[in-house]
Amino acid sequence: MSILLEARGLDKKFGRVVALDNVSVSLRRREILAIVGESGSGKTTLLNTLAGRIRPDGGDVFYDGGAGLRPLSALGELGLRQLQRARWGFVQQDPRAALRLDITAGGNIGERLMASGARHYGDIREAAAAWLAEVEIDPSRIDDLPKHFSGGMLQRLQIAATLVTGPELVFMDEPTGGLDVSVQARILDLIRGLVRRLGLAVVIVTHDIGVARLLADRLVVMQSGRIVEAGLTDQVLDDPHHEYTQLLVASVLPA
Amino acid sequence: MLQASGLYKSFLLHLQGGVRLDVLRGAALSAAKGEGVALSGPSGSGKSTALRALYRNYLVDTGEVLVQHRGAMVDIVTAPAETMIEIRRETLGYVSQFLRAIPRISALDIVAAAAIDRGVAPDEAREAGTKMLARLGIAPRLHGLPPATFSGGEQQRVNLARTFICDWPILLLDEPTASLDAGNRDVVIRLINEAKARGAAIIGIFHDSAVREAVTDRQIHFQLDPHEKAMA
Repeated sequence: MSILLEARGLDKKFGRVVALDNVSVSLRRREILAIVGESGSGKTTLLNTLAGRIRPDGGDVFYDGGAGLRPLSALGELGLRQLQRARWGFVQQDPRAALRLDITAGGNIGERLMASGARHYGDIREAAAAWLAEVEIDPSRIDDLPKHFSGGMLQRLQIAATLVTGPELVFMDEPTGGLDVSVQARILDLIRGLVRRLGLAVVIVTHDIGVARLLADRLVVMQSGRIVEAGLTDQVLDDPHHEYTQLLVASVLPA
Repeated sequence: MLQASGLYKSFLLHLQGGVRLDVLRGAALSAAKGEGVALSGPSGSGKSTALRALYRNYLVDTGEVLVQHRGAMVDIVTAPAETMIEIRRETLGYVSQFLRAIPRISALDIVAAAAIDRGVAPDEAREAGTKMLARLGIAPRLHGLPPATFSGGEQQRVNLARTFICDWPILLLDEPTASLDAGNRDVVIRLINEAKARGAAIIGIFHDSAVREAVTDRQIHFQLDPHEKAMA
């Protein structure tokens, strides 16, 4: 599989805080990469930089949209927005920040389709209903406002709204972060099934090692803005070499 | 099929004041087509570490592990991650001591997934999964349930079914019969011998001597570190 996304030598500072310090990482098609680390390690900054939502101070992110790896910085504002809308998806930790709570569930999904060019009302509504079913929301709730949905349902709605446009690359920021454990399992199972079936490439940020183990082919461990360890998920977690990774793994309570 | 040599592996335990454990000190092992090889030796001698190194679950410090994959010998110690993932999907089967249950996924889906990953049609994979679970004595009423609540022996049989549903060229087995009764143990012996007859290379740790004698042709003996022996 060829490389889809690659970061080379990313640097980013917020004031005097170093968020990214010479970070390089790559992602292949259909690959699931987890970024783990504690709060403040730079993992969310890395995700946002890979997704073109934050511009690095140094280094660049390259993406292969079919004609070889090209730097995001060469795309321009408009080109980047088009890419983010048409070929990429982003699942945020808080679905309330990503969805519009004052329009219907079906509208939230349909809006994304319309933004990428769909015009036929019947088709859009049909796709929205199909995606609600896909994320295990009763399609009869298509005209309900999401503000009456539970946290888990909102997260599933966000996933449907993200995947309806058929992205090839999806970024996820702690997608199960604020949810109850029982609800988490359902979301993880859903993500796992969809990602495999649709052949998506995914970069997922999580502080939960169990989530990384369940979903990711590979993982990188971040500390103080640097990648301190990287490799196959089970190898890094079962045979951690870096002191910080050993601490992360040792800090998990066995189930 | 598999040839490993010069394996050195130490664990540097940062959280225990930087203690260093030298577990593998130049280990070498191999298995040919249709051959069964037992890793033997006392507890703590490194056989389990060696087996994990053959799957790159543990990364050795030096040495090579050559695996015949797609007609060529590939060193899995240095292979890129995506090659390793491909090798684990197509060439190297591994039965761990315990099943890692996934919430909400049924026993049958866990078993079928391995075959589906290798390109078998989902219906066919589920049919084969049903047969394999039945062969390992998992009652049909359990097939649709997530194994998290199963007994240890049942979980291990799901784990075995998941591996034996595919025809692996190389099979790594870490005490595959540890929690099984005599009847199921005999089923596993037959499954391993069928795999060997098909040409699979088997490398395993078998504490049960009856199983070891039934499925292996050769033993590789691991010894305790002389320093540790002196301390014991």
